[in-house]
Amino acid sequence: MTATPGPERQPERVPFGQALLDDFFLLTALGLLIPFLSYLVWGLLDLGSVPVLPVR
Amino acid sequence: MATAAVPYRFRTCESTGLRVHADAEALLKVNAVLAVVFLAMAGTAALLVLLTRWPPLHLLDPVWFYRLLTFHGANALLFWIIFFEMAILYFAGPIVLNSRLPAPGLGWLAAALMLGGAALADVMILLGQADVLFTAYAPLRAHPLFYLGYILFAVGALIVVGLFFASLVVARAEGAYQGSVPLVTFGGLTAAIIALVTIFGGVVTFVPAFFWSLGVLPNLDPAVYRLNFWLIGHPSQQINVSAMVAVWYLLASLTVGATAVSEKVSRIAFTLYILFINIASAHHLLVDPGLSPAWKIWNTSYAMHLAVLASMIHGLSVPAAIEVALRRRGFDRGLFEWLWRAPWGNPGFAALVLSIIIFGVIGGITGVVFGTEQISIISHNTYRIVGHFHATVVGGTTLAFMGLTYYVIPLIFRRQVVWPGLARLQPYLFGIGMIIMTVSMVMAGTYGVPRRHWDIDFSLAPAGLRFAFDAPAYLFLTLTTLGGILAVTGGALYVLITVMSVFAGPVVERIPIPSLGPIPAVAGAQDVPEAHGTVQTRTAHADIRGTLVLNFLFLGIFVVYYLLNWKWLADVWPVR
Amino acid sequence: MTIHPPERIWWKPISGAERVYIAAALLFTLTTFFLMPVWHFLGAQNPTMQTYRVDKAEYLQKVMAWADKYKVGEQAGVPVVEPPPGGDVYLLARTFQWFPVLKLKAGQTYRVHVSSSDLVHGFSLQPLNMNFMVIPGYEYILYVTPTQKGEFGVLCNEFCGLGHHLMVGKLIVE
Repeated sequence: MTATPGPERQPERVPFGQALLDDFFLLTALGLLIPFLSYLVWGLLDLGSVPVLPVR
Repeated sequence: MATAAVPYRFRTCESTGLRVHADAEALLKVNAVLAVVFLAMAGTAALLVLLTRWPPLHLLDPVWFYRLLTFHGANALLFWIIFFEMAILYFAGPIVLNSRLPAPGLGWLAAALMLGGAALADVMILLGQADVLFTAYAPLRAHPLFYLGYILFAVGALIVVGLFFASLVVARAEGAYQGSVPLVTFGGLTAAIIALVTIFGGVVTFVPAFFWSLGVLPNLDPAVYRLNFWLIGHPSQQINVSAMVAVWYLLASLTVGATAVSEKVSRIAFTLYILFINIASAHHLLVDPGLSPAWKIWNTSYAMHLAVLASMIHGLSVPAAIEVALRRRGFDRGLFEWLWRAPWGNPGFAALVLSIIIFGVIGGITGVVFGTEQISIISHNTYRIVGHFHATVVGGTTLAFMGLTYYVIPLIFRRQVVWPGLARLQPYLFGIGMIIMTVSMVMAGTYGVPRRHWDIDFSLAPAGLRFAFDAPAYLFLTLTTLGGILAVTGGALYVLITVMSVFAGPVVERIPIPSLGPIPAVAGAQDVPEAHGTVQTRTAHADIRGTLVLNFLFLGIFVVYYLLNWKWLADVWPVR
Repeated sequence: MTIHPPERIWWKPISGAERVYIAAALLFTLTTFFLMPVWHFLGAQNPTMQTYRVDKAEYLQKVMAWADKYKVGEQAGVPVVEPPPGGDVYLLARTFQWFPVLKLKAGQTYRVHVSSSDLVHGFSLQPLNMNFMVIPGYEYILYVTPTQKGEFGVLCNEFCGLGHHLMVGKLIVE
């Protein structure tokens, strides 16, 4: 956070990757959504689709 | 910036320069103290359980064994460690950001809920109303108040996590920091997000279980319960991983003044944790019926092992940061002078390094290997698993938290650590004990010794059916006991030193940060090892050759153990 | 230090030394991932199973009837059952017993049905150290080929109550 003397300069733009990792709401949303879908929902679908034993 | 009608009370830490909000600090202290109380209880139960699983001694009867095993699991895996993590969040949020904790009253409510919930669950366990082990797998049923205890604890933790997020928002809004948060805060954020997943898992598991135990819900599907449980069961351990790694970075700074070699690399690694670490809860269900191989393989892999890569990255970044910091102090000769001349007499540093080694080499390797879908067949529910998670949670996280305590005492409680000689010894006792114990547990499990079992001699079973384990199993159980006793001694020493220091240690105003030398250093006195060279200024390229060698060595061990297990799997009967 | 904010722009190129190790680690972790689906298709040991929903009491009846049909002896009060080679085998887990004692032929592939009539149990075949969960209400079928002869122990390694350590059975291969 130093003031650079001299001609006016646009501060360097924050790279996209850095901006993503700085967005803690985005990280939180993904951190909740991914396990919810990949682990829980998919797992429940698997368990829910276990067939009843066919009567012989 | 708004001027408050009542000014918030801050002090400026003379050791670190941080602006410390009084309410945040008070809550940190309470949570830290409660953490140590629950650790002492968990450790006592650990010793009794350990001495029961040693066949020659077989200390407790079956009822008290299973009861204290339940007690040990709940108090170690949930109460000790989450209370300490709440303290870490109070630090990593408001304090590291030089900002205030909003709504501290909620923090006190949360602490009361957590304490009340934990106490309730513990009382129910000790009264024999919850002989179900910490996992409480339905149809095993406990008393409703046991589930309620878990629920209250989770609600309290949720409030603290909420306060952490709130403090981030407040700190940014009030201009307490600019740009990106410090790395330790980012690690805390990782832990907080994973805590949200954990608490969600707790709700979907224990709220229905509570109503089922009351008779309101007619039944609980046991397979669904297991799926739900592990959404709290393992993510709670991933809070530990994230908090531990954040503590690694913190201790590296406090001990040797380290700074991240690449913020980008370290933060990407934390982000991979946030995205993918929780799906690997699937590794508890790899030999369960009903779940598809696709689900099992994708989820147990932490998404193509990306979150495993993240751990391996931290295993590079933290030692690299230490190496760079020490080389800059002049310990620059050859590959490893920085390592030999590091402050091994500083219990914070010793704990840090032992934690990294035990977590990575023993915990991490066994974790990935046993979490391989097919290799679970030769690991699941054996003592191999018990060895794995004691290496990660105890040798890794608990030891790192112990190391941090040697800084919490002077920096937060403003006391000097008492009995410095014993304090120096403590991490080694605990760490070496853990190494012996966890390796022995894995070996015993490799010979088939089951977990959660009162008597591997089956002395109460019909004579014609008894199974006899090979002699090595018994040898490794003896080594497990010896290692465990050593570790419990180290743990008891930690509790003793901590309690004595906090309540009776001499007052200290500031300590040198970074310490570089052994701590607890009395203010003003320095015992820094002499460097042969001059202190270097920041160089363009960080020299991390020593760390690279160590990490490739680690990778080599990983490859060997991993391939060995496939060989062992291929030797058992074909099964599909 | 890690408690201080980083530089304004910290998203910068990664040093060569870090790249080397991260690349090696990435190669290793991708390999360890892909070995799982590869082994699923090419390997002989997989926890794949075929699962069905079943009523706990019905399963109990089914196992009892089948055991009666193929019973050849008794051990410590538990029937010893020898099914036709390569056929269906039924195993019941209940507090605190494995029922029945099985007698199988080496080299034959059996359809082993496993379930519990009460709680969650852990099937652990020793000294082979082959382990599977047993969940009431779920009957699953493991296709197993015993390749060694001898007497094997069947332990329970999932806590199922205060008599958990009483649960031990036998599997004989001839």
